[in-house]
Amino acid sequence: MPASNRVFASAALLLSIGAAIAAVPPLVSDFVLLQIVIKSLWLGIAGTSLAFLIGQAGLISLAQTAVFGTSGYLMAILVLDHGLTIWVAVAAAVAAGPVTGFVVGVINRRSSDLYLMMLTLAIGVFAFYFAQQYQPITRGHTGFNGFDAPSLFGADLSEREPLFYISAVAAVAVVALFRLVMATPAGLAFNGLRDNRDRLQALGYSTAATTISAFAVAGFAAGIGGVISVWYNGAISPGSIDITRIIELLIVVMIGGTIRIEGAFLGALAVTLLRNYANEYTNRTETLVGATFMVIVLLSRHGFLGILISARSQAQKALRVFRGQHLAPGKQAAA
Amino acid sequence: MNRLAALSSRPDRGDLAESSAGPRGVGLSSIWQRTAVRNGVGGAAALLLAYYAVSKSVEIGDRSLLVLLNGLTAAGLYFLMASGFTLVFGLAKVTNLAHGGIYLLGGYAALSVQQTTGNWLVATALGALFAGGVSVALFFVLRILRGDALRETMLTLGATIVIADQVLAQWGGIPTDLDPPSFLTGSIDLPGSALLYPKFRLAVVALALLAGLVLWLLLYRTRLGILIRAGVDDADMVSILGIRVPLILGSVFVLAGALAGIAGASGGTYLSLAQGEDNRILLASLIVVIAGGLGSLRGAGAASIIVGLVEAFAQTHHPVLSVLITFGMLIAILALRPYGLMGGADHARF
Repeated sequence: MPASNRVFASAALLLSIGAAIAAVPPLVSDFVLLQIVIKSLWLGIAGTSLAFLIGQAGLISLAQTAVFGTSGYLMAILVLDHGLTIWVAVAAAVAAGPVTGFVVGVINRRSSDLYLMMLTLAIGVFAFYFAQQYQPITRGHTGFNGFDAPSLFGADLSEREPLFYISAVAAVAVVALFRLVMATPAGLAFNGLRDNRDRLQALGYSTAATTISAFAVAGFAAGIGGVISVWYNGAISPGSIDITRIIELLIVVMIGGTIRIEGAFLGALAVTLLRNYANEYTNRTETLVGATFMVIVLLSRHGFLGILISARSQAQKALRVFRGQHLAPGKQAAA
Repeated sequence: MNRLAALSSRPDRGDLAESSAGPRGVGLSSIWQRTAVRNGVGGAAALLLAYYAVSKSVEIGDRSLLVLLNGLTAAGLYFLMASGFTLVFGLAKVTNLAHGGIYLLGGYAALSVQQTTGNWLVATALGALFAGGVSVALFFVLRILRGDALRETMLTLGATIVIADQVLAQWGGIPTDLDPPSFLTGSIDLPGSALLYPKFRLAVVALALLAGLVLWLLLYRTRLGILIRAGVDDADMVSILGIRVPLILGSVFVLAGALAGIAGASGGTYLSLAQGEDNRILLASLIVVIAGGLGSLRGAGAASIIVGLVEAFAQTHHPVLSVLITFGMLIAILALRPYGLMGGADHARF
């Protein structure tokens, strides 16, 4: 594709995404915008970090809530306890994401598969207990309440629509960042980590360095998710990062499917809808969420998105449009 | 496949490699050197920490005996949990993250039985039976995914949520506990001091020792034990010899569940049964099995004692930092011994 066409295509893509974002608030009710759309956006942003780790680097991490919580807590602590200007605190919290991710990566640099899951679970649960126990800094069980979202260009981000727009912009930025990373040689190395560690190592790459980089990149999205979640909830407590949240993030990603990073938003939407509307029918929402997750794990490797994509490729095969041509998942977007 | 091909067809892109993992001389002597350095660092750190622990303990005098006993009691509970966890992993290669949930279920089931019969032993036995039943039920669900370890583990995570929510629905969210059996109520005088210690807590230590002994006898002195150990080494070969491996797997799940149920009833007696206890005990068991060497029963025993003692010490002397200290210890152990304390090269590497 010539360069000018590419620019036009990107501009068209950006414009259509912008139009789609602008079209959401008038179309949905205030309740849906706040309770479903915005919540799905920040949950999805946090989810993309795990979707990236699982789908692109083959690292099933249960420590992303620890990263998410570190950023959220850091912002709340800096503003509420140390009286810092909010945007300085936000910058620090966003920067804390990759740093925490780096630390998690260093701890897990040699682990893969099951062992990685166990070790990251220990880290995730540790973060919860640390938040609950270390009262001088984290305020223990109650956590931080009454956090006011900042203003940006005169728009108060604790209002529905400004918060929606900034979340949507953040979501697009995070996805763009992941795509950018995946287009670099490092992106190929992450895929190598997922597909065949031994071969990656034989090619001269350090699996430890690749693992650490993947965690650091993913930490960026988790940190942004943590920041927006505190804006949205006005609070953060150990309950925001307990084992139910750890599993919820995994559910978001598994329901959405890990083939594409964007699947996380689909999964976040599904989980948010389930949580919001299921309690009209049953008091046991958690059981329903857990059972849904178990069924999806039993039925499919790649969640809803996997089912959709395989249906599409079946249709394509049937039509013999792309006969003998197997597009890699990453290239479908460009096509 | 495309991306793999791309990866392997570009040998010129070794830029990452040169900086981090270039072909260093990894001869035998350098491995020995590294091991020696690691052991030296580890030994020195352990000595320093031991000195610190002793000096802190001397400060509080007699009461350090209580800290020691509290640590051993916790160790007993952790061993009951971790031994089942590590056995299931060793044989079935399943990481049962619902083990904490099964602990809580066993404890609550025992509570219900005790409320009707009033007998602690009957309650614990039935609680263990119930927990074993739940465990084997989970095993049947897991068999659908046989072989796919990651999805199996995720399934057990889903089961954790369902179990926790069902426990909340059945028994409510108010913390509660079991009454100890009549012959274990009250305390005994600790010799050489004016301190008292609850009898039941000491009984938990005895129970864990008994469980360890029974497990050892089962594994090394019975036919089932031989089959279990053979299955750990090579399940396919055992299967070819005409032995029904799923039956052995199922019995190991029952055993692990029953041990967790006994732990739940004991923990529910001297601690409490409450929401969140399942996660606390899951974290402790995870730390124990990772630190001890995943799949190693001896490692689980050694690590449960270390974790129990360190935790009790930290809770007394640095209550706010205790989780951080326990976790820091795990990271330090893994830094020095990537396979865990008793894990060898054939064990899991973290």
